[in-house]
This record gives sequence, C-alpha cells and structure tokens, in this order.
Amino acid sequence: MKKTIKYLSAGSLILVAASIQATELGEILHYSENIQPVDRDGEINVTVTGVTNDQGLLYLPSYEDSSVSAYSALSGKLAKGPKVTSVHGREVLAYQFSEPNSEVRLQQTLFVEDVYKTKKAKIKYSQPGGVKRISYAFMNTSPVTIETYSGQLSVPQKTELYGVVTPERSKKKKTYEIKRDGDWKVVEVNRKQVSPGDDVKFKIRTYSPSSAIKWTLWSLVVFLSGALLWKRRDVLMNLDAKPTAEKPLRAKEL
Amino acid sequence: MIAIARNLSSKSKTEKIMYYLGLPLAMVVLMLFYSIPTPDGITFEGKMSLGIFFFALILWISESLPNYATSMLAIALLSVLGGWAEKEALGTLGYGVIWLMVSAFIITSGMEKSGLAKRIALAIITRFGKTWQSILMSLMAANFTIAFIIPSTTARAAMLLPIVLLIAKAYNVESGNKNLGKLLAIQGLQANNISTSAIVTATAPQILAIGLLKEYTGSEVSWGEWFIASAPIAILTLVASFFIGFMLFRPKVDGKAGGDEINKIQRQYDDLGKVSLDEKKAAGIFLLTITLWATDKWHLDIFGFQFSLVMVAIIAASMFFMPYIGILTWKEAKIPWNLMIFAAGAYACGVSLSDTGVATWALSGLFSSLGVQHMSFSMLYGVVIAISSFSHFVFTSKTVRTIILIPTLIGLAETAGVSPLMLALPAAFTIADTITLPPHSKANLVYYSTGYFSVNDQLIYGILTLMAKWCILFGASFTWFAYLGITA
Repeated sequence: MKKTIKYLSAGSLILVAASIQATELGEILHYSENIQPVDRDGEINVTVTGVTNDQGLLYLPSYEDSSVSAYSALSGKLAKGPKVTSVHGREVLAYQFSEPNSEVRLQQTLFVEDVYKTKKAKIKYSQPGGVKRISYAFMNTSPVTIETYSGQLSVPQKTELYGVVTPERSKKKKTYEIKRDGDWKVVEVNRKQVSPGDDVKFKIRTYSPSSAIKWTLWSLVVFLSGALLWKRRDVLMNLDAKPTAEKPLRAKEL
Repeated sequence: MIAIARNLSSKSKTEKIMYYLGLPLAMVVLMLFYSIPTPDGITFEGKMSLGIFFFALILWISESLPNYATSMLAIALLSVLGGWAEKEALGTLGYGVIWLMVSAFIITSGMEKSGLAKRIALAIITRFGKTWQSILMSLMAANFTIAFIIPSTTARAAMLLPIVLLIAKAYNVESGNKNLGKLLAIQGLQANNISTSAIVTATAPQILAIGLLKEYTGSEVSWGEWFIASAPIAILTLVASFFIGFMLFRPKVDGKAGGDEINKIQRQYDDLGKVSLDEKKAAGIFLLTITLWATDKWHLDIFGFQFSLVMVAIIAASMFFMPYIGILTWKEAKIPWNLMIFAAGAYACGVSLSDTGVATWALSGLFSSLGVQHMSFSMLYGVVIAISSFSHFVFTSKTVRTIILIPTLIGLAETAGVSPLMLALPAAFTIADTITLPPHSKANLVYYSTGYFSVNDQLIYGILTLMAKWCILFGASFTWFAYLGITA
C-alpha cells in the first residue's frame, strides 16, 4: 500500500512539474525547417506548431548570425513580432500571441549567414576532384523539448549530392532520406524529442563533375572501344569454329 | 592457377560475340552512369556504385576480361570514381570469406595429399554411384543431410569441395567431360543453398527472419513449422534443379557407360589398401573442424571461448602445417589467389550497393512502381515471391536482405489488407535462393573455384531453377500453404 502511494505521489509530482513547465515556458510540438541556399548563405523556412505559455509567449530556437526576414501566424493571433531574449542563459526568439496557454502555428523565414560555405571534403586517398562539404547544425536553444523535428537541407542546384556523412547511414533504421522537394534535392532528417541544448547535425558532400573531364572520358571510351573492336576482329571471323574442349585446370592439378 | 576465364577457342558462337562486345559495352554503360544526373533518392556514390556493379557484371558474364582483372578494375573504379571509399573497397580482401576460402583450400590440399579425399570420394562412388546420375543425387542428399548439423552454407561447401573435385577427376572431367563438371559444381551450390531453405537453423538470416516476424507481427514460427512448410518446397526444387541441369548440361557419357567407369573406380578403391597415417591425421583435423562447426552454439559452455566459423577453418588449416600432426608444407598448399582477388572485387561491388543505400532504394522503388497495393492476393503473392527471390541480385548479404525485405513485406501486407505472414513467411523461404552469380553467396564462390563452369552457365541454370521454385511456391500458395493455414 505504502509503495502504491509512493508511486502515485512521484507520478503526480512529475505531472505537476511538467504542467508548471508548460505553463511557464510553453511547448514546441513540431518544428520543421527547410534550408535553401542563397549564394553561400541560407534561407531557412520554419513552420512551428506550439503551445504558448501563460503570458502568451512562444519561445523558439534562435540562429547565430541571422535575421528574421518574414513571419506570420498560421493559427492564433500574433500580437508582437520576434524579440531576441535570453531564457535559462540561452538566446531565443520570443513571439507574443494574444492567447495564453493555447495551441498556435507560426511560419518564419530567416536569413542565416554562411550556411552554404563550402570546404574541401576530407576524403582519404583516391577520389574524384572537387568534392566539397557543407555542414549545418540546428541547435535547440529554446528552453523546451521539441517533440518532433523535421529538417530538410537542400542541395545547391547544378551540383550532385555526392554523399551524406552526417547523420551516418544505419542498416537498422532510416537515419535520413533523400527526396525531391520541387526544384530541390533535399536531405531530410526527422527526430523526436530534441531536448534544450541538443543539436541535429547535417554534413553532406557535393560534387560538380566537370564537363571537360566528361568529354575527355567519353573520347577515351570511344577510342578504346573502337581499338578493341578492331584488335579483336578475328573473333568475328572465327565465329563458326566449333568450340574445343578445355580442361579445367583445377582438376588437372589433382 | 584456377581457370576462372576460359580460352576463346572453347567458347560457343554467342559467347564469342559476348566476349567481343563485352568490354566496349561495359565501358559505355559505366560512362552513361557517370554522365546522367543522379536519380532522386540516392547519392552520387550510390549511382557510381550501381554503374560499376553493371560494368563488372557485363564483364563477368561476357568474360571479355579475366574475372580477377575485372575485380581489380572494379575496386580501383569504386575508389577513383567515388562509388565507395578506398579503405572500404580495399578492405574486402580482408573479409572473413577470403580467409575462409584460403583455409578451405589449405584443408583441401591436406585432404588431397593425404589421400583421404580420394578414399572418401571413391567410397561414395562405389557405394552410391552406380551411374553419374546417382552420384549427383547422392551429393544432393549429402548436402540436404549435413544442413541439419552444420549451420553455414559456406562451411558445408568447403566440406564437400574436396569430394566434388575427386569425383570430377574420377569421371574424367579434365579430359573433356565438361558438362559433368558443370553439373557437379553448379548442382552442388544449388543443392547447398536450396537445402538451406528447408531448415531454419541452416543459416543465420533465416533465424533473423523469424525473429523479425515475431517482433513485427507477434507470430511465432517454430523450427518444426518452418521445416514442415518449407522442406517440401526445397525437395521439389532440388528435383527440378536436377532435371534442369540434366537438360542444360547433359554429360557426354550415357547412363550405362558409368558402369565401366565404376568398375575401374572400384579397382582404384581396392588398390588404396589400408588407411595411412597421413589419412588418419587429415581425418582427425577434418573431424575436429566439422565438430567445431556443428557445435558453435555450445563453444562458450564447453571451452570457455567462442570460435567463429572462419576461426575454426583457420585453426584447422594451420594444423595441417604443424609439426607431428600436420602433413603439408606451404608450397604444397594450392591457394588460388586469383580467385581471392575475384571474390574481393565481387564483394566490393555487392557491399557498396548495400552501403550506399542503392539496394534499399531499388527494392522500395520496384515495389512502389509495380503498384502492388492494388493487386489481387494471387498476383501480389506472385510478384512478392519473384522480387524476394531475385532481390539477391542487388543484396550480397543475406542478412541485409532479410532486414530490409521482411519489414517491407509486413508493411506491404498490412497496406494490402492481408495477414503479414501470408507474404513474409513464403518470402522468408527464398532468403537462401542466392544461386545466380558467384558473388551472391560464399558457397557459390567455393564451387566457382573449381573452374568447371562460367558465370553465364551459373546465371542461366540459376534463373531457371529459381523460376521453377517460383512455380512451386506459387502452386503451394493455394495447396500446401493453404492447407497449413499460411495463405488461407
């Protein structure tokens, strides 16, 4: 009996704590971002579903070296635009809604510097020339856990997606997906329960095969094919010769 | 050196044309892959690994280049063109299967030198081999029987290899009886893989399959239930394989001609005399090897150490070189390094497809493009069985194929509104159907090392046998499986 009371009390405490936290800090139920390149910078379109706190505030993760270029409420009434503030020592974007403790949906577009700054890919030994890497990390600077996260990193146009380094491919579960989103090829990563301070990393490699190399290789293949067909032309002349028996060498060795 | 590329003079007209066109065609296909934009769903690495796989496949089938040269080229191309990291591609030469093959050839050399392999082979022929047909049937039966005790297709192939080689020698395969060599080797590998499908414990991926079935659907399939459902399919497929082989590669000797040869073999057997000390030593090492392979579940309890399949083979091979108990010197060990290079390249092509996600992408793309969700059960069942049976073309690893195939089929069955077991269990019976190309299974490579058949021979024979198995499985869906309640 004592044990049951103990468990019930502990359970109730957890529920109360969670409810207090939700009332104070709000909730982020779903956070989705689509990252597209603008030269070497990135445009990030974010769609969030969350619950405002008891003051009607919705705290969202902030981005370094960024500016919010557009925002709108998809559901709920937005009272004030984003304000950079500090909660629990981390910078967040605070949106003021008219309705406290209610579910809202918001869309924002951010301009983030250097997202598509490329570096030479670290591939050891043999490789095609000109493979570059792009790294992007989303950090949950908000004070609450993001229940579900979905990030789409677009591959710059006119380049090939050479490979995905992070997240690493797993044989047991799907860690990422490569999809097409309109004109863009995207690497999509989905996560559940992204805690405050946790990050979701993307590291991809891109490659633009040079057309000069393509033409050189094609010329080489055509030349070699022609030369081979010419050098082996005697095979066609002896097509009707009957096959002769050949001794399998392995058996011969025995 | 083992012949894994035949002389031009021994090729038929079609094979000569394939030889003539193979290399130019392979190069053009590879360049097409390099030039086209990467399809959605995969990376450039994946696209190139697929291109290099087709490049190598064309060359292996056409024999336009020696197979080991194709493998070396494939490894180089994978690294340079970005199909797979160099470290990974080169690492395939260190795979367990390569060590297993090296060890198997040392064991085979020891068995040959001691004369034990010859004694066993001659004993089999004189007891059961009244004709070459009965020899083939006894080898099939041997493959089926040892599948109960040795839970590895590769170990069973390595065990039967010396016997197959000696039987081939006794039947003058080296003096032109090529078709019998083909039958002995290809039927050997088919019997090995098909027998595996009858016994759930005969290969680990089948155990994984029933584990996945339980995890995803809660349905438990016992050893006995698997055997009752699958063994008749396996036996009928073995019968079909026997007759298909007979049609494709009818040996020049007729059935009765075997009688004279058997008499000669009987005399050879009688001349062997008493078992020599070397034979006893070889038998001791061989028995120890089989015992260790058969008891791997209890190694920790018995010895306090676990010995993997490969380590057992390496220990056994090293014992043949030991003072007092060994009988071999390094020079006497006939290790076909060209085969090892071929196997490493073949593995690099296969594993890179899996590692870059191309295999999964191809399988899911195939299922969705066929629109299987809207088919009748019979149609759906037929398509699923065909895809699961032939999907080993893109998955070198049975384990990876199982991990991808079984959950996909369970999901598909749920979408189609049928019980998951109705599709996933019959599909699980095709996990061991890896009989079409040498790199599709380690056992295939062991038999390919005999040099008795070409890639093309195996491909045609394998496809026909798998088509026969598909018909048997399809027929079973409304007869045997319906009676057992799997598809009812």
